[in-house]
Amino acid sequence: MYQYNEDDRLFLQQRCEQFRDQTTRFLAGTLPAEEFQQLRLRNGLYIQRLAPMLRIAIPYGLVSAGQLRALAGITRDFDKGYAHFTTRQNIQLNWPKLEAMPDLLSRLAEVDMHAIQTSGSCIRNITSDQFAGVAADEVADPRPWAELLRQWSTLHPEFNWLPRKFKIALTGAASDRAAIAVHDIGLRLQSDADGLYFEVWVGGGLGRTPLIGVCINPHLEPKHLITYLTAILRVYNQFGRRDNKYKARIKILVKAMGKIDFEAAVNAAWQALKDGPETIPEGSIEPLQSHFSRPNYLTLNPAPSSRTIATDQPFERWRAQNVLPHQQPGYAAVHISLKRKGIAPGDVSDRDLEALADLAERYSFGEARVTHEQNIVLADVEQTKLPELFQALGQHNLDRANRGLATDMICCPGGDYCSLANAKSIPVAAAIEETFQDPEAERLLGPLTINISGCMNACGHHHVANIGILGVDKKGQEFYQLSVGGEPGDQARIGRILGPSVARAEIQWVVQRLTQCYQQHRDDAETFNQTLDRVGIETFKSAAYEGLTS
Amino acid sequence: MKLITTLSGYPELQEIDAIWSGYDEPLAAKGAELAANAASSLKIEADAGPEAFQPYLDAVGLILLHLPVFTDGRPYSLAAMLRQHYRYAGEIRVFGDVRREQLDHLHRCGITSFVLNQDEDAASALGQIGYFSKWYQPNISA
Ligand code: SF4
Repeated sequence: MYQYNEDDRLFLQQRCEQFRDQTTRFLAGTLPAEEFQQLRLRNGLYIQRLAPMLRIAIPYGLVSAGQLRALAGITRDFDKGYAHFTTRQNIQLNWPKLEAMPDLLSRLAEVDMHAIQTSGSCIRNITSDQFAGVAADEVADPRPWAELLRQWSTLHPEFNWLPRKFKIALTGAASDRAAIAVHDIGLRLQSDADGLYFEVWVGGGLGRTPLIGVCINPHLEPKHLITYLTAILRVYNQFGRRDNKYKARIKILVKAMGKIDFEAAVNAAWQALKDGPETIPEGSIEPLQSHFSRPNYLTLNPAPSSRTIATDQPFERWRAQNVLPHQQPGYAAVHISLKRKGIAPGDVSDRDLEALADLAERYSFGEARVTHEQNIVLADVEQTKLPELFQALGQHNLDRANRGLATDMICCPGGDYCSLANAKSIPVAAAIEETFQDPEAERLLGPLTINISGCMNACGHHHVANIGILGVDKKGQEFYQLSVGGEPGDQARIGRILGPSVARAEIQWVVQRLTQCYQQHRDDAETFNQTLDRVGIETFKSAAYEGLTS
Repeated sequence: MKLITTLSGYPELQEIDAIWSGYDEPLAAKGAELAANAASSLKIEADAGPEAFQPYLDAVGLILLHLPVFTDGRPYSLAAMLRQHYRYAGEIRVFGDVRREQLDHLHRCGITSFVLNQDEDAASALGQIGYFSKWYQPNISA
């Protein structure tokens, strides 16, 4: 992974000192509250329902064993011994104290971590494919480019005060695991006879107005990446709406201008920058690439793959569900589920973090990845060590075989923590979890995405789930609106609202009836959405609301 | 009014009585481009398009950029465009809700002088320009 140099460290140290000074002035009453709010947001600190919340960046999801261990120590020393992985490759602490923040940020800086631009109207953490560099379907490794963008976007002087937050995701694989179609900018690294190029998507996003992005440049030479993105951001910074925060995202601007005019405005702005000083010189990405060179793989024989799966064997079931193919013969990528019974989705204790650090060290070259589905990946595991790893995971309650299944729910912190919430989401996930007691039944149900957000902001990505659940406020009561037919990834699409919202007590049964309806009507190996498209939403609707009066 | 200027190559503090200090009062009337000269100044609002400044750029010595509120990012892009797109080489001065935490960023976008918000402590603001020893982006002012 990327190794900080002296300059990177000095920068981070100065940033920490700057924030320490700002915090001191705020606490002394000499820095106005409305100004400090903006400054602390740009250092990842929210004031939440019960306490401050700190969002720490894990750039494009890559984290080392040492960093995981440092995070564990930080949750103990500054918080209540646990943390939460988000849907944007960040990790959140729920109970830090404002006065302790400068020390906390310095502790993070000791392991080359920070919380810069994890909130506020600026360019947020750059996200990417959790299988970057190892995926069997990869065209090119996106990580050097992700690091380039991380550096470029860090304290970008021109883009620190955008109309609204701005999220960039990139992928280099055939199938998109970074959800580029629902980002402000989505980048897809491709290659043809002339070499690598980027497909540039703009204006996707979830939230109040869910939209799939549009491709404004199908073929951008990599050397123009920075100047082209600068042009997009410049157009947005100038013309994005600042009068209404619900209409301030770039997707609204792209929609209002139309794809053609927006593209033309970007090209006009680009003309002043193209081939200028920020053009990436030939040979300058290679040094970054060397930070992501392949680890010292052993020469191994691949394990035989085509054998029947003994699903009554816990290891076999886990292997079939959670172990993924790898570019290197004899290696596998292992998915570790953080969707565990009785624990909020994506939550980890300090002990979990330490266990993950140990396992990353023992089995995966000391690195782990964080996924936007709020899980962990060990990307480089020898196939022959899988049984051993499975056992070790079991000792820490990290061996659940539910990747991509119904209980692998994406769930935001919701009303338990978040001050913007209309309703709680963690108890909803727990209630749905209750209805999937039998792992074999869940396996037979097959791949299914159920995502839960506590409000319109859609941190739980409910729009792009097969079954999406959104907390709404109905005269002070917690209700939930359901949507069906959403799809993440390549074929990204926004789900359709099913019907009237339902009370908390009903939600798990409605979801159960939806899954039963799917099982009842599906042909062979049809997915949930294929069945839905074939039989129509009405069938699902009447099944879902059966017996409900409200 | 307190003005920080970097025109000599390092930040200096000056006391001024008008935001256009050192130049003539900003041009306003349409057609004024005919009268513009090196002593002229031109005021640009944050929502200005190129038509508001393009005809004057070859002549005026000072462009005054308005920062209506410290969270408004538009003057940053306007300054960067004036330098990179329109190749404007004169002085760019920002006025309005200009606070010390903004100075370094504004400066790196091509702004050369700063009329401080009256509540700002000018002495500590002075030290903000050049606070960071390392940046990940080129300096447009340099
Ligand atoms: S979706 Fe709403 S409730 Fe959930 S974390 Fe985001 S802002 Fe908070």
